[in-house]
Amino acid sequence: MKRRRFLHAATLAATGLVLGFHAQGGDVVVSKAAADGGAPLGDFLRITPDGTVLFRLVKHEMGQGIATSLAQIACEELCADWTKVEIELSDADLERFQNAAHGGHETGGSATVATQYDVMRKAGALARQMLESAAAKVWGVSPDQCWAENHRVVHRRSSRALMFGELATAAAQLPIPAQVQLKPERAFTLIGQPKVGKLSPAIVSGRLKYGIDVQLPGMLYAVIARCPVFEGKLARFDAAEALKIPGVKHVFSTEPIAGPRSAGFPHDIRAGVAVVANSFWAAKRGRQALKIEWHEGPNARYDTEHFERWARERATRRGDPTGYVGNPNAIADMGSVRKTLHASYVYPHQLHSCMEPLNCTAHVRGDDVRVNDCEIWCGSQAPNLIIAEIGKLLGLPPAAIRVHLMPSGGGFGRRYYPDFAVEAAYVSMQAGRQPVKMLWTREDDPGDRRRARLRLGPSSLNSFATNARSGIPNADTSTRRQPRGAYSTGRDGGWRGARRPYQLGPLAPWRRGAQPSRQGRGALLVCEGEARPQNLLARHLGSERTHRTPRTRARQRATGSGLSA
Amino acid sequence: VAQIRLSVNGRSHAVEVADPETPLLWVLRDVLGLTGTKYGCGVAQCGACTIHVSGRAVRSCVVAVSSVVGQPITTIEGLSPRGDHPLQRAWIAEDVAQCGYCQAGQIMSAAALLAERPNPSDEDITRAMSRNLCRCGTYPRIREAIRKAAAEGRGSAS
Repeated sequence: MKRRRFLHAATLAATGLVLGFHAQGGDVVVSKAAADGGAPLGDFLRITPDGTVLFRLVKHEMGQGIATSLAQIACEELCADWTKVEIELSDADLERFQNAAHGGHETGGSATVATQYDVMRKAGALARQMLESAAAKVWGVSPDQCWAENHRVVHRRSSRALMFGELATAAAQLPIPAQVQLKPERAFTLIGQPKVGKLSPAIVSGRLKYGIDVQLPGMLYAVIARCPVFEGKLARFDAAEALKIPGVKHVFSTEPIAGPRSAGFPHDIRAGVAVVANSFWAAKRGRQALKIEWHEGPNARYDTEHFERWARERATRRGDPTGYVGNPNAIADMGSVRKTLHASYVYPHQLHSCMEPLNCTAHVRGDDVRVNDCEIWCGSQAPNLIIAEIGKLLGLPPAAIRVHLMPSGGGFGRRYYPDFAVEAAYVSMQAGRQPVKMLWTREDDPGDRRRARLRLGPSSLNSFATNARSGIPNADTSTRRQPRGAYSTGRDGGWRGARRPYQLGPLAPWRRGAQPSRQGRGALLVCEGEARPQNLLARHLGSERTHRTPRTRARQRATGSGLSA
Repeated sequence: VAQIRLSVNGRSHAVEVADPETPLLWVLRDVLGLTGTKYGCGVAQCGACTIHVSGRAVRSCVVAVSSVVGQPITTIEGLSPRGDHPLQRAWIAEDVAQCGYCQAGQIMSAAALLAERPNPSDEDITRAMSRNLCRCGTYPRIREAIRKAAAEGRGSAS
C-alpha cells in the first residue's frame, strides 16, 4: 500500500514539473503530471485533499538518503504524520530554486543536510503557519490560538480540530507569512529519528526509475567511442562496417563538442565517434565495428610516473595564503617557528565508478534549420551546469532546456560534470532531432584498456599531491581548548570543504601546492592531505588529535552555496 | 530479425530481436520495459542484472536471449505480486538500500539462495552473495536482511 501511495503521489503532482512513475513495464515511464496536484504551500510542500503531504526534492538523490532526510526536516516543522509523507521528484527550475533562499539544485560536498537544514525547516514552518491561519479563519479565532500537531490543526479551547487535508486548499490561498516561527528544538519528534528511506519500497520492487531507466517513444540508443587519451583528437574513422550492423542508424564524429569547457566548473569532453541505433546492443556492436585512428596528442606518452613527477614538482610551489582559518599572516609567521615538520603525499588517479554507468537521455526538438528546445533526463548533481552548457551548444535560453531530475546509482562528484548531458544533446541533435539515450558502458568508465592507467579524463577523480610544512611556534600562547596548528592553503587546488571541520588556532602554517586532476576537485584526498599533516602536527604537540568542532552554519553561509563536489 | 517467445514473470511475450545473441538484460529492459533489472558491467562481474531462469540466479547481461526460450524467467518485478516477498520486506525493515541500484540483483541472488536453502548458514550467505557488488557498501545490512527473512520463513513454517 505504501508503495502504491508513492506511485500515486508521484503522478498526482501538479504544474507538469513532476515525474510520474508507472508501475507497469513497457509504458512511457516519464509523464507530465496531471494538473490535480493538491494545494501548494510554498515551493517544497503540497498537500492533497486526502491529506497526503508531497515533498518536492530538488536536490540529487544518489544514495545519501536526502530524499528522506530533507523531507524529515521539513515535515518536522510542518507537524505532519510521517506515514502520510511522499517524495516527488522535480524538474530543474532555476528561477525558483537556484538561489540562496532555496539552496539551489547543486548537490555535493556531503553537505546537503547541513546547508538545507534552515531552508527545509523554514519551508515546513511556513506551511504549518498557513494551515494554522486557515483553521483560524474557519473558526473565527485568532491564529495564535491554533496549533498544528500530528497532521491536524487544533483549537484547544473549543476542542475543535481540522485535518491538514481539509485545510490545505484554503491555506494555499493565503500569502506566505512574512515571519517564520520555528519550533523549539526540544519539541522535535522527527528530526533525529532514524527513518526507513522513503524510496525503499520502490527500490526493492525494482520500480524506482533512475536516469538509465528512462524510456521514450521512438527513442534511439547511442554509445560513443572516445579517444583513449585525454586531449587527443579524432584523425579519421571508417563507419562502413558499423553501418552494416542491423539497427545502426547513424555514425558521426563528436569532435565539434570536444575540448575544454567551463561554466564555472572546468571540464573536458573527449573527442569521439557516436554510433546511434535502435537498440543498445546494435549501437555497441556498431561501435566495435568502427575503424578509428586517433591523434593521441600531448598526453600520448603520459603515464603514472609522469604524473607523480609532475605532482611532486607542483607540490613544492607555494600557494597563496587564503586567510580562511587561523592566522591570515600564518605564512609570514613561519619565520618564527622553532621546528618544522615536512610531509609529502601523492595520490594516484582514482575512478568514481558509479554503480549506475553514466547516461543521459536527450531530445533536441526542431527542424533541419533550427533547434527549438531540448529535454534532458538524467541523474545530475548540477543541472544548472547542464542548462548552461547545453544553452551554449544549442543557442537556447534556459527556459527552453528542461532537465528532468532523476535519482542515480551513485554520483561521487562525477555527476556534477555536465559533459555526458552535452554529449547526449549533441547526439540527439545530429541524429535527426530524435530522443536518444546515450550510455557509457562500464568499460568506458576506466577508458581504453590499453591506457587504463593513463587516464586524465572526466572519470579520473582524485589525483593529488601535497607538501605540508608545519611549523611549531616558539612560545605556547594557546590554551588547551584551542589546539595549536594552522595552515593556509593555496587557491590552486584549495577546496573549502577540506577546511570546514577544523578549528585551528593562530599558529604556523603549512603550505602546499596541489593540482587535482583536471576533472575533479579531489575533495576527499584534499581533505586527507590536509588532515594528515594536522594530525602529525598535533602528535608533535602532544595532543591526541586535532580538535574538531561541528560545522557552524554561519561559516557555511559565509562561503555561499557554491560548488562543492 | 528473429521472433522469440519469452516467459517472463508468468506472462508470455513475443519479442523481435535483430540479433539472437542479444543479452537477455537488454530485451527485458528495453523491449519489455522491465527496468528493475540493472546494467552494471555487462560481463557478469557485478551482479546488478541478476534474475532467475528456471529458478536459478543468472546474470542476464551475458545470457543470450535465444538461449532461454521456453524457460520461466523471473525479474525483480515478478518476485512477488505486491513487492512483499519476505526478502523485500526485510530489505525495507533493515533499510538496506542506499542508492539502491544494485539491490534488485542482490535481492534476486538472495531469493535464489533462500529457495534452495531456507536456513542458510553465514557461510552460505557469503558464498551466494559474494559476487554481487554494492558500491555503497551495504553488505552488513544485506546479510542482516537475509537472516531476518530466513528467520521469518522458519517462523511461519513451525
